[in-house]
Amino acid sequence: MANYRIKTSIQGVFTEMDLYLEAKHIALSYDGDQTYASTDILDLTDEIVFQWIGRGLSFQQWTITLLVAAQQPDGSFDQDKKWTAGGQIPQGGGSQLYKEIALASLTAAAAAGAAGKGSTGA
Amino acid sequence: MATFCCSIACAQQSLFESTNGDTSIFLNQEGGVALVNIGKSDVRFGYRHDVTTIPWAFGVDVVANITGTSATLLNNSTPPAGAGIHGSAIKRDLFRKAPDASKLGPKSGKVEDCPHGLCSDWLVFQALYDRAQFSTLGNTTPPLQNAVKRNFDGYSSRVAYNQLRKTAKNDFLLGASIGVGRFNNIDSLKTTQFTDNTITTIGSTEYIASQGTKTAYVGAYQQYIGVPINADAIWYPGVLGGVVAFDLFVRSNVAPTDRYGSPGIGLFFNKMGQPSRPLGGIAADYRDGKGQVSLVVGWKF
Repeated sequence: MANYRIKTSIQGVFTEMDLYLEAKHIALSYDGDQTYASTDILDLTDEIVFQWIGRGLSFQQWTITLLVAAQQPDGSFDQDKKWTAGGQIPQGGGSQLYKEIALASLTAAAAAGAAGKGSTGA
Repeated sequence: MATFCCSIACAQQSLFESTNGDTSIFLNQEGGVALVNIGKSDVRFGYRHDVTTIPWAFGVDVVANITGTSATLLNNSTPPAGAGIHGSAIKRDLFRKAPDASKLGPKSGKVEDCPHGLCSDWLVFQALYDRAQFSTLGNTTPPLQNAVKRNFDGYSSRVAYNQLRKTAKNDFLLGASIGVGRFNNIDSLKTTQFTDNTITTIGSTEYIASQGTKTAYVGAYQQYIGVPINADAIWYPGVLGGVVAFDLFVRSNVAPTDRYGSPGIGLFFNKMGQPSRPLGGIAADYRDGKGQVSLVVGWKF
């Protein structure tokens, strides 16, 4: 196992939201401009378990971005690797995502803009 | 001439406004919003402290009226006409428990559904201060009186309760608020234009040193302790994809002075994929036997 820095960014307007990384409830701060964010250090093996529930008005679009960087023995961090997902809140309820994200599948953040690895949520 | 910022416009309020610039619906607001509502125009800068795992959020807005092409927040270290500071505290989930996300898994089913249609609810507490400057005239019957320049400091507080409810094909934002504060009745007064001349006498000759057209409110001006009660029911028909919302609303004051009830309806158009952000809308209401219509256009910056 090794330490990883996870930068989470969730864009959209929600009336409420719950995010869990590795079953840990994550506190996201709101920047006042449709973006919720958090930076956490987690001890991971080869994947990260991501759980998210968002509620809000139907048809609200959302985007989730994770930037994952491994911590080196000297305390520094590798280059960020990126995972993204997007979708919109459905009628009749909210959105939820459950993903077991393989760390080996992540792409370098600089190159991920053109080929973001992830999924489109409900 | 000084413009008047509606004394009960609110911190973190949504852009679903009626003619008087008020609402009982509160949604996450962007940091900067410029809003033009015919009869009033303002610019708002907001900050909101909101952490998803804490059931309370806090916000503050600074509001300034736009006069001409500019908005002034401070003038000689004092708030200018139409400026205000609005603070709010928001408590989430009073009647609804958030789902146990720790039990969420690939086969956990649709835990995100809204039980009994109630998706979210939240309570908003507000404290508001507004400053305004304007002129009043008792009547326009000749001989005309001099217009009286007035300064108004409005203090108020209120509590609002909001719900997001959903059916299979429709969304509903419901809101109700009650408050108490120091208000005035200029929304009930007519406006008129008058020429303000400054005359200088030199010897036996009078000279007009300056003149300009100003706006004054005509009628019996009053300041009073008011109890405003507002309600909104915003309907998003699912077939319209969240782009169109209808707002049925009531604005009222139940205090003895300037007591009124004003029902109305609004039609708002939202940005695709952002149903909480109206690009613009039109609202019509009925008060004291008269109908009023306003256009609202908002910009984020």
